[in-house]
Amino acid sequence: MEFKDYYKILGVSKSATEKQIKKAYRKLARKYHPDVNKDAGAEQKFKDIAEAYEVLKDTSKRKMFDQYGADWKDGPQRQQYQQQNRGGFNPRGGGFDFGNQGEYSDFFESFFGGQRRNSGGRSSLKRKGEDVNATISILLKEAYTGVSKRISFVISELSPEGIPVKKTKNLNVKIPKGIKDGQKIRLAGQGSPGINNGPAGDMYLKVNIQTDALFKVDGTDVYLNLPVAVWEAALGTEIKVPTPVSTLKLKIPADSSQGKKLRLKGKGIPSKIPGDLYVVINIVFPSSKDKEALELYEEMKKLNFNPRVNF
Amino acid sequence: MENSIIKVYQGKFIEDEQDITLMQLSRSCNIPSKVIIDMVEEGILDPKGNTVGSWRFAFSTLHKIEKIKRLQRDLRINLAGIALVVELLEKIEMLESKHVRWE
Repeated sequence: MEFKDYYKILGVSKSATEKQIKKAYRKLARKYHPDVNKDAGAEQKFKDIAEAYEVLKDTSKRKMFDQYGADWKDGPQRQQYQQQNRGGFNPRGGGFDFGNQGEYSDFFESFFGGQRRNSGGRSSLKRKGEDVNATISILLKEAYTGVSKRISFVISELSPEGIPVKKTKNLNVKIPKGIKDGQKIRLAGQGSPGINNGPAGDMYLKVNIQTDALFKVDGTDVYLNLPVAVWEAALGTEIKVPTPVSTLKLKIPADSSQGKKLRLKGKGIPSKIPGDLYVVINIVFPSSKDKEALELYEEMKKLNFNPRVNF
Repeated sequence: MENSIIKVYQGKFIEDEQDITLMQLSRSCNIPSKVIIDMVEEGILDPKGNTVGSWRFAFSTLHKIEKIKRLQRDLRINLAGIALVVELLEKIEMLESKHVRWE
């Protein structure tokens, strides 16, 4: 178990006033709130910040942390404190009073004891369990075919004593074919269990499509950048072109200009309304360092061709 | 601690879920319908239907309300502030996804 320096987490000095602590908390909370900040570490950071504030805003908790923080393992008043304060405090008051999904670190729990999150009065209320969110990332080709994935996520449930405990849940989830990047799937009743026989929460799974080396995705449409030699574009040709799931033969019409898009209807992500696959012509030419190419370029100079006719 | 389940669960796209009424929304989110009406008046939620009784909310509203609850609880933002935050977050999300696609 790791010692948490709550002052350091909030970036305040040990002598900080209540006002300074509140200000530091508000500022950091806005910055790292997981609904606002999508960085991977933001959620943990926010939890640390909330926990630090929980301790430092409370005069008696702060006093105890100041006194025994460094050697918290054997603080003589710890047990007494825990006995006095067990039960009945709501860690993050304010706003609506909803079930709390905050989790405390082991350090906090051992210091202040496992605390009940809900005040006693509502304990007989039937409540829906918390919804749980998770994100999974799949390959583009899996969006075409559908895929089964094993996911694991943390749910919270109340022990018989009313103390919330974390539990890891594993599920095998079938991701249907035709999913778009960022689309969410609901798994009804797979979230945290309900309280007092209330219904279980739901599990929301956000599916991200991994960036692909060849293909770019926009909604259900897929784009492929196709390198074409300058004479292939000029004369037209047939090219074998990869799709995320197969290969197909594509006719490149003569005089295909740079950036021209060839649309392959229905070859995008196969959603209800299937997307299209766009093949974007990208003209490339050999380097003039190649002697033969150089000769041909010199020859082409003889053409009466003005590329800047509209200038 | 681990609870393994072998069964394969088939999820449902949120877009394909049925619309829900004010009462259902209030029950599912554990908040009074008055608060939901305030959210509609603030322009955060946009149900179909002209009268409160005929309001139908997209299923994804459930998700949105959970987010609003978190913002309200953790950052102590009022509804007007939340309306702005939600709008800006949606805009950022849209821009970022475009940015990633065309990078």
